[in-house]
Amino acid sequence: MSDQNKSVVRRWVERGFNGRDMAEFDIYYSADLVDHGLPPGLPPGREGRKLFASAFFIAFPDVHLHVDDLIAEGDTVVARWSAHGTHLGELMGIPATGKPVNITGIVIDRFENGQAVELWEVFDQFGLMQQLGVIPS
Amino acid sequence: MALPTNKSTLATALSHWNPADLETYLTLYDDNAVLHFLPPGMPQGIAGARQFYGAFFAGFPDATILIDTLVEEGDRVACLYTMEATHRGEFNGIPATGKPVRVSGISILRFAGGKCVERWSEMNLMSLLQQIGVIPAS
Repeated sequence: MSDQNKSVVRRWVERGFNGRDMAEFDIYYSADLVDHGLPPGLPPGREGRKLFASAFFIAFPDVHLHVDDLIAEGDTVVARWSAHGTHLGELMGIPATGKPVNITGIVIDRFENGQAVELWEVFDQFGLMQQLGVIPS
Repeated sequence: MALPTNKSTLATALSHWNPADLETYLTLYDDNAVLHFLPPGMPQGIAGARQFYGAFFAGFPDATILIDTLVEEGDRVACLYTMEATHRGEFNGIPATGKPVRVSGISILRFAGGKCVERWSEMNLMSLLQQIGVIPAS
């Protein structure tokens, strides 16, 4: 079960996020997804997650996500990730700066029947804003 | 008697995560632990953790941690937590605001011989700074 859920995570990272295939988001996330990691202002659940990712793809068209570690127990998988990209589009009102960024984060997904039904995520939003020069270092 | 698991070692250590008990909490770590979340310029290992939490507790002396989830595989334990505190002292150059804060974080600890030898950590610092009013809420 744990190994199976890990492969589901890896597939979504490669085909969904890195492959920019939004259909993979519908395969990966349950329609009833409860998302505790979404910034305020987005609709809840799977639609919010898709809009959040789409906003990132516009702001960082070359963004690439790398899974640095997977920890699985029971129905839960924890992924430690790092991402790099170039700020070539508008992000939450911040015009493109052309700056390269490196971000890290950790996400916890709980699975039911092979789909993520609940997730918690914390990523270095503060570090991202510093790298964009929006917040002083 | 069974040896404590890495999960229980972490849970016990976190029950001591407060200014008065900091030295007990710090026994969680190996002397030379690699702590990826420490800001550049801080020493690594227990010395770095002592400095980091000393500075944090100076700003938030009543901080408490609630463990929401622990996930364990092999030598790693992931911990989702909620931290609650009041900003009663200077923090990163920001004078006390008296404001209550509530933030979530996720840490991953790697253990060897019952000690944490490496840790990665993400805490919602942006939200914390918004709650004390230093950064405007988005």
